[in-house]
Amino acid sequence: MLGSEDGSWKAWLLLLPVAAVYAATFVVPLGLIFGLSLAEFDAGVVTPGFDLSNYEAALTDGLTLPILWRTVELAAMVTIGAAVMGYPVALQMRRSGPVLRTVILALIVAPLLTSVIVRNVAWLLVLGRTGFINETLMATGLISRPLPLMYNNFGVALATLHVYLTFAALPIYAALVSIDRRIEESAASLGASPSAVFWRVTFPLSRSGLIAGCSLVFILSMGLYLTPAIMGGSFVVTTPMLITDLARNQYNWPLASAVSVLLLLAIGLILMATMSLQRRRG
Amino acid sequence: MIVLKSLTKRFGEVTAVRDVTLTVTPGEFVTLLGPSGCGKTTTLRMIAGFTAPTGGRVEMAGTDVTGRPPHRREVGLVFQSYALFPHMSVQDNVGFGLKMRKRPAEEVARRVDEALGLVKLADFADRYPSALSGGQQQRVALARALVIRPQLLLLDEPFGALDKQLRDHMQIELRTLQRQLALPTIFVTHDQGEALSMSDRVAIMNAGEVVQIGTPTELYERPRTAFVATFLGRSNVLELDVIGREGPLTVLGRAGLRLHATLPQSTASTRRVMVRPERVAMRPPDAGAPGAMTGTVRAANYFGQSIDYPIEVGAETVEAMSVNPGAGGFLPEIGAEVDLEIASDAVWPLDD
Amino acid sequence: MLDTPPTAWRDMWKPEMRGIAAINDALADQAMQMANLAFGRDPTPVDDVTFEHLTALRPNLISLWSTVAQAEQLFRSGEVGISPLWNGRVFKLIDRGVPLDFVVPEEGFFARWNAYTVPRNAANPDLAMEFIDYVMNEERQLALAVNLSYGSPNKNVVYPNDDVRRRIVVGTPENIAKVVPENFEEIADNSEDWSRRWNQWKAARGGA
Repeated sequence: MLGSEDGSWKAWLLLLPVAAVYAATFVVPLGLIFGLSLAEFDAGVVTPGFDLSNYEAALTDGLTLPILWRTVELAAMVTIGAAVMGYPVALQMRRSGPVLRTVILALIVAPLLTSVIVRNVAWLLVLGRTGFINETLMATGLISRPLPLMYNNFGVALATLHVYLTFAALPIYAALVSIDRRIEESAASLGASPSAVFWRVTFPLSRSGLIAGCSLVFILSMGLYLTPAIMGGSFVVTTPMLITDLARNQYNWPLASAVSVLLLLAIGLILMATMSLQRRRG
Repeated sequence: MIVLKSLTKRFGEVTAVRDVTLTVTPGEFVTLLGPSGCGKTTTLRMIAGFTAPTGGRVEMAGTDVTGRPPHRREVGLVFQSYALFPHMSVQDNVGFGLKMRKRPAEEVARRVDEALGLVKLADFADRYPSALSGGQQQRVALARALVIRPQLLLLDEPFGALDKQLRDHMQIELRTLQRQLALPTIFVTHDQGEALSMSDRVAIMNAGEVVQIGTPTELYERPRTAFVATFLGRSNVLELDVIGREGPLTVLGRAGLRLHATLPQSTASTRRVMVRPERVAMRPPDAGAPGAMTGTVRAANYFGQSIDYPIEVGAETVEAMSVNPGAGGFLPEIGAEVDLEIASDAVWPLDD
Repeated sequence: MLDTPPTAWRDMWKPEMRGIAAINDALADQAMQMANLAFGRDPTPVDDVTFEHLTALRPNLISLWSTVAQAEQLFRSGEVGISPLWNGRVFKLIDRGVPLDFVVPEEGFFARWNAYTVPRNAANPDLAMEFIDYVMNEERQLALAVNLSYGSPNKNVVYPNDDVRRRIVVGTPENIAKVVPENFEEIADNSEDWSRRWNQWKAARGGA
């Protein structure tokens, strides 16, 4: 083992490449953004400095916080949807034989392999004004004018869920397959009905996977940009879209950086709250 | 009383269990013994209700329970892996079955205490399984299964994960407890020593079938087949020609090997018999005892309490085992000539 | 999709446009000024009244597009029946068979242009000038007008026929008369405020 006392530095040496990549692509840019968020911005001119005016502006402009809140709402919607729909998928994968399992896996991973543009055009064919669902409902006379299935939170959440479902389902599946079936069988032999086995044994033992999956989906959903832009018809504004607008259209990098830091903070706080809640319960 | 009637399980073309019929009387400890893949675990799963039989019945206390789901059979189950609930404390593990039966909290607490006392873990009630040793986990699993007062205790290789000393200790403890509670028990193992020392009766399984059921003594002394003879303990299985008769005894032999045996009348010209190694006596060659044969010691395998000697007699090799006689006893050298003596009651005919 | 072709920006506010109109999100400043024009005001200032009008438009809007590709997609899939879009793109869609027409609104329109700029400390200013001369000569400007329907500032360019003149929009005197000048200084000075208002309006609940 490399973990022996005199050889341990060699193990660290192996981590050097990945540490370098992370430093270059993550730590350094993050530091720059943090520094920039404290800079001064006036009439298009950025002056490095140390003041919190950007944060103050972001927190008081009556825009950043409502949009951040809407982003959290959207992410929560996607996360709950992914958990509720991903859990049964994971359960079924665990119950299935190798062939069916591979088919399910392929089905839930497939959206990831499609480009976001193609996927959203495909949704247009299904959810659009003249899409499959509206055409069918109109033809059957159930509705007289097309339902607004796209260009709102519903459309964005659905299109996002479509892709992120797998990020919830796979960690849950991993947690489920690591449960020794004999633990569940013991519960059954002790008098637990199938639903009692699930709620008292299977579900609690898979909770780590559920939390990992939900955290992953939540973090990814907080960064939504393209899907709301296309599926939301821009009416669904997320914090990343606001940041892009600030940086690209208004050239206000300091404010964009401050909003980015606030977004990061919000994600961190929500995850920490979830985990501490979990720890108190478990 | 637990009755298995012609229990059969087929998986597609493969018959995992064929026609297993077995009765466990009140308080009896019955072992299903066999090599891996012999169908003993499938049998256990059918008794517990996890696997639906293709044919046959499971009866408990006179009721057919074949179609009942596991949670509606009164079966206490202990697995080799213990299968404790890792997210529950010891007392919650043990109390689980009672809570499922919706017993009042006060009764649950009392019976959990009792059960933990029974397995000597009263002080560990608040611990989690991960903080327990293997032996302690095993006891929790046992307490958890016993606390529901099952009609049948099912043990699936429960000692497989314990080290030797602990295993011996737990075997005695379990057997004492089982006797004390007079709890009918079916024990599944592939360890013949365990099966012999613990069981009232042993059912030996091979290729999905029960090949012989009997007390440990019956199985050891009077195995029906070569499989039973070799699977349970060690034995010399010899294929010999019928040479003639001397009074009530049949004389069997092949190339220097001569045995006298009490055999049922038969016209067969060859017979297959079994001799346990400890029944092969060795003497110095000049002892000149009647009926003795001479052989050559090929090896000596020392086990401390006993020594095994493969001895070449003509074309056959006969295993002899001597209990260590200590200094001054007869311990032949490798390559030495010895006289072998096998009493006629040590020769047991096999069916096949 | 539309029974009568629109003639004015104001037509976008008509009830029959419900759920089939779109405007441009990427050039939001034009959308805001357009709302002023539609109600007989000067393009600026962009104020609360502007946003009252935009909010009134909201039920008709199905989407705000941010790239031309997206706008084209919306027209082609039949999601959108009316939207401001550059003439060059519209005529390309028409040529490809999309049932569409280009209308010059009564209230007038904004004409924007692309500009070549040589930065002050450019490494090869002469080469840059030479390049500008090259792309701005009659031959290439004519090709641009004929093929992409964009008008040329080069006065020597002679458009070959009326169809080309119609397509480049600013090719006829009556259309040139409808061009509404924009106050870019005011737009630039207020961009931050406009942006904030625009985002607030977009994110407001209860839209399409």
